[in-house]
Amino acid sequence: MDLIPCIKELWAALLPWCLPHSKRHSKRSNLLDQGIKTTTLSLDDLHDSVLVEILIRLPLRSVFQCKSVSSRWFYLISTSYFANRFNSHCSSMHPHPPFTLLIQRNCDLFLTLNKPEFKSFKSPNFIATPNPVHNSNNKSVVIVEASCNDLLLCSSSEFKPPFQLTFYVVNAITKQWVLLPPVPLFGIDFRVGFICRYDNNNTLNYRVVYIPPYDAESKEMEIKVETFISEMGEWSESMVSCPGDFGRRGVPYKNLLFWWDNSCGRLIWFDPYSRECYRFFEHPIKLDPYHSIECHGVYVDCLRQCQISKNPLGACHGCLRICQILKNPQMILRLWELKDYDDNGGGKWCLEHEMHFDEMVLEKYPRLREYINGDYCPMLVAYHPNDRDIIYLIFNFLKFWVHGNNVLQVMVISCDMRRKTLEQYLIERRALMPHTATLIGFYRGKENESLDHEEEDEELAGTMEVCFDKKGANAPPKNSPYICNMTVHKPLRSCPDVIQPDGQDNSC
Amino acid sequence: AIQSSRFSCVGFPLAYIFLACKKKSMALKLKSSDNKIFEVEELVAVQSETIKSLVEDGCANNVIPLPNVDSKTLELVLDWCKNHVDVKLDEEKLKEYEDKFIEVDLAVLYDLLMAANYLNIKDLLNRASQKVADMLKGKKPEQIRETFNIVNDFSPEEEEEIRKENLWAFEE
Repeated sequence: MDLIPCIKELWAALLPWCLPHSKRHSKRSNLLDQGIKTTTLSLDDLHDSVLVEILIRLPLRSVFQCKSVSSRWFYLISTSYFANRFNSHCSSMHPHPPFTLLIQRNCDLFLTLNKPEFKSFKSPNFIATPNPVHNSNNKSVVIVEASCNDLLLCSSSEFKPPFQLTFYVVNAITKQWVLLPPVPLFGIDFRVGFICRYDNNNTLNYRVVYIPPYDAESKEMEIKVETFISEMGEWSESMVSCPGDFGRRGVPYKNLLFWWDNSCGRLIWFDPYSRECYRFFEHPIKLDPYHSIECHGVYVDCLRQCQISKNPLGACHGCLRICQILKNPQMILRLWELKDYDDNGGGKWCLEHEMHFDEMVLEKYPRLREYINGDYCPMLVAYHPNDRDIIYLIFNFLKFWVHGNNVLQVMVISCDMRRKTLEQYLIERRALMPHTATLIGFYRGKENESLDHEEEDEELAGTMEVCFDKKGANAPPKNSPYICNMTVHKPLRSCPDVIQPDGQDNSC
Repeated sequence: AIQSSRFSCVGFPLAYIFLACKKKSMALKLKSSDNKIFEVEELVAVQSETIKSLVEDGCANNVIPLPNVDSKTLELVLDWCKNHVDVKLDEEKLKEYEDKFIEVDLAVLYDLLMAANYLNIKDLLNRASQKVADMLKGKKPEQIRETFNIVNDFSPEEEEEIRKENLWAFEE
């Protein structure tokens, strides 16, 4: 008789503690059971595709570290599938292309750094490997012709029989390159365009447009355009009505390639996907038609010697822009942007910036004033890919001889058109042989993606240089960090000791 | 009288649409690997592309067997789907839910990843992948192997070579 109330009491005492507890923790204990059951489960039990989904979300630096985790990870990260997924994930995070080809240079050279955080990357190991057979015993050099997103188009010309031009498409992240079938070389005054995009299946396809030299004066009705179609792996020829005389490099924009026609101050486009013909836009107001869109400088006549963007056309923040710098007698920069562009060739050039160089603030670099007031005229190099206020200019101010080589000293200046400041970006010297290109990349920290409200400044990821062996390398680069530095965060931007590959001392 | 007849005219198709909708969000029966049956609304279940294509192909009349998903995981996955079916749910709350949802043991996370991959539920796969990626971030390869139970099948020489090749990534 005593026992029953006792048990009842006990039960009553236990119940409130017992029930909610079991209820609250039922899920957790389930999970715990599962945890015990599956402690042997490892990340490696996941499917390849799932593992890739995880790894593409890591910063590039971690990705490369992960290569040393296991052979499976190494293999997965080395596949082009991974690179494609990585790239398309990045581009879904950053809608605008993060990279822009800043400078194309003519030689192996070294950099003087002006801002510690703008460290450039340079290593003699940066060797892309053009076809070893093709380059084994001649002096053909490799030139970076164009960039689109993070792919580079490089070319190598053979100036002796059988006179041909070879293009390479280089993937910056994966260290992969593709050799395209050679095309006949008729002269150095050819035009190129390069564009790439990811289709719905996340596979990359690209077009290389090669227009052999033609006589723009001769009023020829048609010119030949060779288009390389990546899906087919071959060149395809088409004839299009002669558009005029335009610059060397096409600017990829909205799946089209645009050129600026200097002779008549008009825009030309070519659709490399449908290979449709060219159209014309209206002429920008206030553009001086009698003045070449660039200042006449040392550059104009020597195409090969200076591959520095002869193109005043560029894209920024998803808009097509054009820029003219005039000196009469004060230096003025005008910048137009194409507005209301539509696929039917409609659109309007709007004057976005008009800037007098006299008004510029040169706090940090008072010496720049000399150059501005002097005979030197800056030239546009590139537009910042995302920041609409920043453009990069170049001053070409010295020419002297070192070891029998003609050396130009070049000053790259970043120009903030809103704050009206000029800052020295880097100084470089150039000799004659084209081997390197500088790309600048901009990097938005991962933290931003989750914290959209907190607008942080983009920061420079680092410049990247691609350097080709003068003779053409023989094997794929084994110990080259290649272009991987490009999305590396600040602490990693190393500045290795400057080494002149052939022991030349190019001191001033 | 005219008005009422007009109403009925409108009312009839409305009722029809309503019925059609109700018919559409019919319950589906899903069977987990351990043979438990889950009854869910179609709207919830079709967030899985895999189930959606089954429904579209008319193969969803009977019980849908999901041999790759156990009941515990399926319960979680369906909870996720239920919370993502209502698009009107404000973003903050949804984010709160997702954050809470994803705070699980690694083992559960693996199960979720595999289930999300098998059932092809994009947002869940993304969220779970991001979670694992966050855990991987900042860890050295040795720590990764330890935390995630991965066997190092490289010889010391091979590992050294890979390190050398990607030296820039390892420098502090």
